[in-house]
Amino acid sequence: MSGSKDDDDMPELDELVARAMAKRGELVPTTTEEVLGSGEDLEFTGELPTSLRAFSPPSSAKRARTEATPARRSNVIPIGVAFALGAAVAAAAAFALMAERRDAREAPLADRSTRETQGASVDTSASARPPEVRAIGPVASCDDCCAGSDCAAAKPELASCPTGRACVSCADPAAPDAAYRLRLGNFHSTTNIDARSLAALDVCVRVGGSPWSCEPAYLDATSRPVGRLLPMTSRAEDLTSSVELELRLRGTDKTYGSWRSALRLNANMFCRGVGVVVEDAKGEHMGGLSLFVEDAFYVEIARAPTLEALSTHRRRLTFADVVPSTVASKSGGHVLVVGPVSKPIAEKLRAALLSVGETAGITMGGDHAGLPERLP
Amino acid sequence: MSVDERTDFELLSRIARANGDRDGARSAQSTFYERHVRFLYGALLRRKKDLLPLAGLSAEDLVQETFHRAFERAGTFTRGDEGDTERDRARTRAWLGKVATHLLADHLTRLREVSATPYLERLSTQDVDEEPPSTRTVAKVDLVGEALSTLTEREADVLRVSALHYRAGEEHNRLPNAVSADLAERWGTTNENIRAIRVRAMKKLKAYLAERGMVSGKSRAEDAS
Repeated sequence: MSGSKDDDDMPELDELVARAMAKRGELVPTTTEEVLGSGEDLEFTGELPTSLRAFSPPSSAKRARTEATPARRSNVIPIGVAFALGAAVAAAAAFALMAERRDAREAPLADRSTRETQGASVDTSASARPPEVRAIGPVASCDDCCAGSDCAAAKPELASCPTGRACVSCADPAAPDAAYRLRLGNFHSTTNIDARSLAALDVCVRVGGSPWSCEPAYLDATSRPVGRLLPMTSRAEDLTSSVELELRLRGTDKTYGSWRSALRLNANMFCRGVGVVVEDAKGEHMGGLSLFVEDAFYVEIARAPTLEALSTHRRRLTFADVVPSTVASKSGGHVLVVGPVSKPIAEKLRAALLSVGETAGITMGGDHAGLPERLP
Repeated sequence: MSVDERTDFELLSRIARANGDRDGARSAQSTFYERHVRFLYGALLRRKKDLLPLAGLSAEDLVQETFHRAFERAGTFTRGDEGDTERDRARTRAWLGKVATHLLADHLTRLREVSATPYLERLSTQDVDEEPPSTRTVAKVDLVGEALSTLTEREADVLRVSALHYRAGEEHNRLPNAVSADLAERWGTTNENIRAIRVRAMKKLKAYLAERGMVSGKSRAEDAS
């Protein structure tokens, strides 16, 4: 398969794809920078399998088995069967990586359609009597949907969402109390801005008549998750009337470029976001970024001074289709939350929690310091 | 100096001189293996969910074979900047990653001869030491990462195998016929359609990138002129 003429207009794309896949964990890192920047602990911390406890050169029998024969090709396992059969390691790896890939699509925020495996939170501690576990939900069905990996009715181009959403409703999002939070991808510049200047730039956003909210134009993944939420929340009617974005020198009002539009809050937007192309005053193309629209509501389940206390509380509950996280509180301690989710789902979840005797409240995360993280 | 304190370069140099000191070489192999096996096993477990079954390999098999091949090529490993321990360790692990990647490409190609490992023969430490990517490149990589999320499972699988071969040094981004055939069997389609899937996937990526203004090195003014 030699390169087609379509490859000529972006010859570096293969390199970028390889780098992106390594960064996403789909290829083994092969450069020093990739190993250093993998952002996760790759070391296997469990008990090594017997076959790996010492270096053992492959035996001739094993090497012959791994060599190609035509019959071997017929043993290629169809993708749907591969995760059910095969070596225990391949199956375990497939399971672990399926969960990881789904988590990666959902970014660091819990998605309302995430399914939690029953028993994943089983307490294996040495306590004599296991705590009573209360079942919550389901609260986030994916029946009336238009996009996302959990949506059977999704068109092919909306079957997988870079926003991480697994289920995008077809329902009109512009309800009176609908509120959202914008998430920005990293700004990528064209030759008009050099990399050194980029480090000094902010991307500032204003929705409707709101104050400007600014974030660094570029942040390493090791500093923040790729893509960052603006702290402000915005009403649907403001997002559909005016969203402005400016590229500014940090700490000043000096603007290098801008973009302005009104968002269409449809399934395509919630699934794929929108591409923002920043232009200077002369209409010169300066670069661009992705802009995503995220839900803004959280259901707070419990607060505690330590993560351990929240873990104990968390183990009392099992959720059918949402996954709780913890987030630091600006007023101290930590909060066990589900979110961000839409208002309807937040209300269903809160009602379900109240019905089993839990206390729960709905917030918009104003008290949160940082982003929610999954409990270890 | 005990063996455990030696740098990876020193250990591999000892391994390369196995003929003159078998006991020393075996001890160095053991130390090097213990130092890096958990990293390699962890990396392969997490990152090869589709490639290992396609190659007919278990993660354990690939780990052992990677170390075996790395020791065979110990003499080709070049000294890094040993003043930075963490970086030096990352460099060694990147080299092991390259060995594993090249081995996987060979296995995917299903060559019959023991000595027929063309991808492994291309291995060097040169690319391991590449300069840190520029901020602009990293931003582009992040955007491509977003775009990859728009692909179907099949499209992503085809691109993943293509990217593996690209990293193993495959010229002209060509997928070997044997690999295309395996992918075709995996997805219940034909070799020709596998190639069409790859082209379609790349077009989807380009369209996503173009929506976000990522036109390679051009401004709109240049495009318009």
